[in-house]
Amino acid sequence: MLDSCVDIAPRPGAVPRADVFERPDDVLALIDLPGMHADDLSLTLEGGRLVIRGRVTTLRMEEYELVSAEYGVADYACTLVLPDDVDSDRIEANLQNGVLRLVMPRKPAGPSRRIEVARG
Amino acid sequence: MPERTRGQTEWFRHSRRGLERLQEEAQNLLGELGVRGFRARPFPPMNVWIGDEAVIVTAEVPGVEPASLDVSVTESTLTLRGERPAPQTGPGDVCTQRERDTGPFERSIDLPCPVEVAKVEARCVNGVLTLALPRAESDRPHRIQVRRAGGPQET
Repeated sequence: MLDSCVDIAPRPGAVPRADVFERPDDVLALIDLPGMHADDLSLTLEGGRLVIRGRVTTLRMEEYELVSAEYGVADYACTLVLPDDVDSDRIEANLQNGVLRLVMPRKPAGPSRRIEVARG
Repeated sequence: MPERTRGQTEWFRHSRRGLERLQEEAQNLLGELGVRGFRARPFPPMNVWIGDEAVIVTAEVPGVEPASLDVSVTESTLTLRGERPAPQTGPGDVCTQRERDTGPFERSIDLPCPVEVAKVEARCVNGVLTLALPRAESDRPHRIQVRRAGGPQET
């Protein structure tokens, strides 16, 4: 089976760098998406996960020769597993200067409930 | 291959890999401690292209306000200076993931050929800086007419 695998050049890094902070009232995520325009970004909730996908465009460099490259340009895709207590209806997303800022408020803890124990 | 030579090659390969791993771990550790200059990946990452008329440099600078970017060019060097604000955290905040470089940065690169400093164009959109640096006129490639030797004399 391995003999039929073909080596291909992997596409340059498509998983964006992210910082995640768990705060008392919400979860804050800052995700680097350089080159991303808000129109090309898609955020969808699938189960308890936030799926982030985006297409980027880059310059055509046909008349130019590459001297050195430290980064590759590729479409982005990443998934954030949301903590159980995040209120998915109130997630706020903001894209500025290529950084996606997500604020995910937590659901307030419900009042404690006494559970009756049946006899027998 | 004689047994002894192969053993040495194996050892060399293992020790090199071990050394590289040690270097990588040391870099990661120093990076985590916030020691600048030791990160494996310099900020901002840059790509350089060259054409007949210009050098193009692109840099990924997400989170940097374009107005706060300091771009300075000499005939042969490009320097980028700026700051990436760190996320503001308060007491009770727990950081579960930290991958983005933040803080002040300064980076200089050598340009592949001389450029006309006065004609540099810069644009920064969606966290990507693009610079067009026109090549110095004397440095641009020029087509050289090749005359046929032994042809009819010109009057």
